[in-house]
Amino acid sequence: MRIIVLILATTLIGCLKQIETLNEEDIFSKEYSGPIWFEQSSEYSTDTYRFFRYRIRNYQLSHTNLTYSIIFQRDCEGPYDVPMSLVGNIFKIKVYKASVVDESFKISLSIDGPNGIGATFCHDWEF
Amino acid sequence: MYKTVLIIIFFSVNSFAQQGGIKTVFDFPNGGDYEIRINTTELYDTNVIYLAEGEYFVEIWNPGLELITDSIFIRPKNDNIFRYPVKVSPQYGMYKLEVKKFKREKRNSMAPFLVADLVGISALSIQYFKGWKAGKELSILKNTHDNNLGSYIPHLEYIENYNILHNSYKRIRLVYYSILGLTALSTSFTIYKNFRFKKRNKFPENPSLTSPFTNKTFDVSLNVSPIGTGLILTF
Repeated sequence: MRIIVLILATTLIGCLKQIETLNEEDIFSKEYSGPIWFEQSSEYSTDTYRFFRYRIRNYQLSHTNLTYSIIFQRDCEGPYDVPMSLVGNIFKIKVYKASVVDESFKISLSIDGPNGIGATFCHDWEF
Repeated sequence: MYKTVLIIIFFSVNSFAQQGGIKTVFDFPNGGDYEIRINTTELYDTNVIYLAEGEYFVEIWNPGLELITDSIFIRPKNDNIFRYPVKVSPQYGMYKLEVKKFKREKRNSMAPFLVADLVGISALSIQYFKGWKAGKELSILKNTHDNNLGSYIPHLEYIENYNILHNSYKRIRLVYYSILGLTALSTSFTIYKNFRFKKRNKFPENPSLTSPFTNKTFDVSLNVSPIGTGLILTF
């Protein structure tokens, strides 16, 4: 009897936890609000330029057959520009060294896809 | 207390008094206490005693066993060993039968509930294992997706795979918790039934056996001693 109660109690402790569904929103939707689809990777500089590498975190973006491009705005405003390269999940942004003042680099990254520009997130590089 | 002290003194006096006699050994299976009375007057709590040459009437009493009586003749030789078999007393035999009956009735009364509990626990374990396996797989998929780790499966196919597995996991969880609830219910019934049985049926009481020699009371336990035939006694 005690053994049965003990087994039952142990089973209750090790109960099956709830697992959430995928946090899945269409990255190309105009209403896409997260999670942030990129992350800071690494940076390096030459005499003239500084290079900032980002990594794409969004599965859909990495595995879609749709045509899209990544665009960015310096200081999260102004005209759009495109990254220097996109290899695999890593894209690189090149800026003049002199333009990075006081170790501050802020850009907003967006997706220019079939439904237009969306999934915009402003990012402040953490040095 | 007064009685106990008297018995101890009595035994001690006898032991000292007989040291000079002929060594006499009473050999009989026993795992606990016993009392030996010689010529209806001298009491011993040891099976090795010293007696003078002559004829004696011996009574050996074991709680739970039949009284052994014998007439012996002690001769001046090195060993006088007297071997006796033992037999369970009718009173103790009856007690054993009552205990058996009690256990059988309890077993019969509890069996359906215990079987239900065991079936429930077995089903729970199987379901838990299935859930654990599916959950682990699901976590790996989710982690791969959320962190965009290396995978060559196209996005839509990935989502489809995940959803199929997720639905399966949800079903397993539902079944698991349903069985858990039923097993908990069944166990509650088992506990209640056990409680009710104990309330309605009392466990047979150990027969309190009183020594015919000293009026001392012994309780006979059911434990069989390592030598198999003796009994372990508790006071």
